[in-house]
Amino acid sequence: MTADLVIEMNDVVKTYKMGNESVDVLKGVSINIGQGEFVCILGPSGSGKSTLMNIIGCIDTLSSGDYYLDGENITTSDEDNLTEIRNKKIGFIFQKFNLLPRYDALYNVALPLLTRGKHFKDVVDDAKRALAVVGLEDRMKHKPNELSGGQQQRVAIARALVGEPELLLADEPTGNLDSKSGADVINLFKELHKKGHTIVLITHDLNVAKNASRIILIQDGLISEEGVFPNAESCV
Amino acid sequence: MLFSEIIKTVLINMRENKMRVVLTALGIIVGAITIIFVLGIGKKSTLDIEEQYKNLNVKMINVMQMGGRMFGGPSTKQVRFSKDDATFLMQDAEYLDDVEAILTENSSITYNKETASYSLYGVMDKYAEMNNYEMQYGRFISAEDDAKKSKVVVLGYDTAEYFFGENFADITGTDITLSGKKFEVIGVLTRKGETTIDEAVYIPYETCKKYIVGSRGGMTRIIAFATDVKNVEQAKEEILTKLGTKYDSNTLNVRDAGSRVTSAIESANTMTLMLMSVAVIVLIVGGIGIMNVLLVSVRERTKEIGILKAIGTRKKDILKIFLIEAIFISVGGAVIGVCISLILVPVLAGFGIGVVNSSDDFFIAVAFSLITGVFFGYYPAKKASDLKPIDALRYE
Repeated sequence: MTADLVIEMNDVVKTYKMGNESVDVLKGVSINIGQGEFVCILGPSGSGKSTLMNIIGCIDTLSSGDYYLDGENITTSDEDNLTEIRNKKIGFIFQKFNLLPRYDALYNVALPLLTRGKHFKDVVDDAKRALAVVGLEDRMKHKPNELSGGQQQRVAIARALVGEPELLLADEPTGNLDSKSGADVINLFKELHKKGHTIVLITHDLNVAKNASRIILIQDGLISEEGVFPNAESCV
Repeated sequence: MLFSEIIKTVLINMRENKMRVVLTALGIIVGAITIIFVLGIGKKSTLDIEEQYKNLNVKMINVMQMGGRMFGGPSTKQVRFSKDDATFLMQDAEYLDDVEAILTENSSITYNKETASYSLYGVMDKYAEMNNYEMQYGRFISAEDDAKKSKVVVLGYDTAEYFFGENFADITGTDITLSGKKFEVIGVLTRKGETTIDEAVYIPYETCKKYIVGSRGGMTRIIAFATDVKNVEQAKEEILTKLGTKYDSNTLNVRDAGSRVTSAIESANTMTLMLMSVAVIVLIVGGIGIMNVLLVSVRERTKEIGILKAIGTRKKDILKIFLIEAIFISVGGAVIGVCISLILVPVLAGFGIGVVNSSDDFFIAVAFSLITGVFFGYYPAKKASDLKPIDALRYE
């Protein structure tokens, strides 16, 4: 375990039981991701990348192996502990944005901080600042259905940023966006990377993956290739 | 999450589902109104009974004869009480304060060419005192009147009013005719508000025996008074034992006034209890309504719960969000129910349905609704909080 590693996974296996049959979705994955990296996990559908993303994001548990997040061994953490880790160390960005439809953008962004037991008026400035980072400070009173897909995804990114997590975890963040909005979102990730955020992005789209500084290719539950994209750094 | 933020979340959710919240609350509203009415009707009937018996001396014991053919049983000899029985009972009496013999008759009364029929009681001198009667004018019958068989009469208030008009003056000394014989009015009783007392006339027992019932002998009732409320049972025992030496005790029926009130209140309570169970059933149905709606709500919001969990909302906070929604709906419904009943009570009173409510009843209605909300809200809330984030997030 190295101190500046955000993610350290050793030989992670995930087995799903389907009736009497058990299916290995992850067959022994080992990944190290360091502080400040922009890593893309690239793989076709059915490769196990979503399962890997869920395990990294602590919303699913692994069957065997070890997982250290920010130096903490969470292999055996219980649900309450994982809940706290999700809140403090991980900022989620989903393909379908997953904003709460009843609340306006500002409240959506504030939620991770409210979850920590803070009063809305004490976190409203943090939430506004996060919205400013994604360029939506003028839309904070709008509800998700009053925002475009690209704007919703930027609100979701603001929500992921507001709690100052160790890790931004994005699952096909451009999957539901048109190419223009998708490009905006990718550029936003690049900017965040430049500011020092650690970003793990999961996609099946090579064009999206190209933007990362490192690509991990996953196939059939195993890492098949790993490499630094030569153009990546120069893109930033 | 802070409690105030949870409440804000709940209020936003409720505002977005107004119709559903109102329909759910309806069950609780009806339940609360039912509880308030049932308690109110129950209280009213108890008050009515107390009002009805308020003049009753609880130390009073009625001694009755069960003569003739009772319930098709064998014929027994008719018991005929007399004043001697009263005197006999008072001899060395341990638990008896007084025993009165009363002759009851119907008598035609004539005054100033006006004739009417009234109940006539031939009573002893302590009768008024024992029954807590008060005098409007004059005095009650004395022991001397009885011994001398004087032709004197005390009128009930309504009787006097009938013959002498409203707001009649002191009419003592006036002569009236009872069953064809001239009697002098020596007093008028204060109005009791009970027709059996107010619409009657009272004369000395011996006078009644001699001039009114004559050789027929009449029907004598015995009324005894226990020394203390606590001694009523012993007094009844004493009467039965003593009279049992003279008469067949199977023909004697000894009942105290208190037991009549008690049994009346008991039957009113039984009624209230029955109505109360109806109210509770209504509330349970309302509670099941809450549970249904919340279960649907949990299902509808599964994805949302998944999102909340993904961003790190604690289990207990999600439980609170759903439980507080249930409590808001139930308590809100109860408060609306209380308001509606406050409007409905006077309306019902207009239809002659008496409802008497105290603030306790409203409190009970709200408390019961709260319990219902918590009880039926807990399962859906628990279900929501126990969802696995990965399953909840995948739910579409």
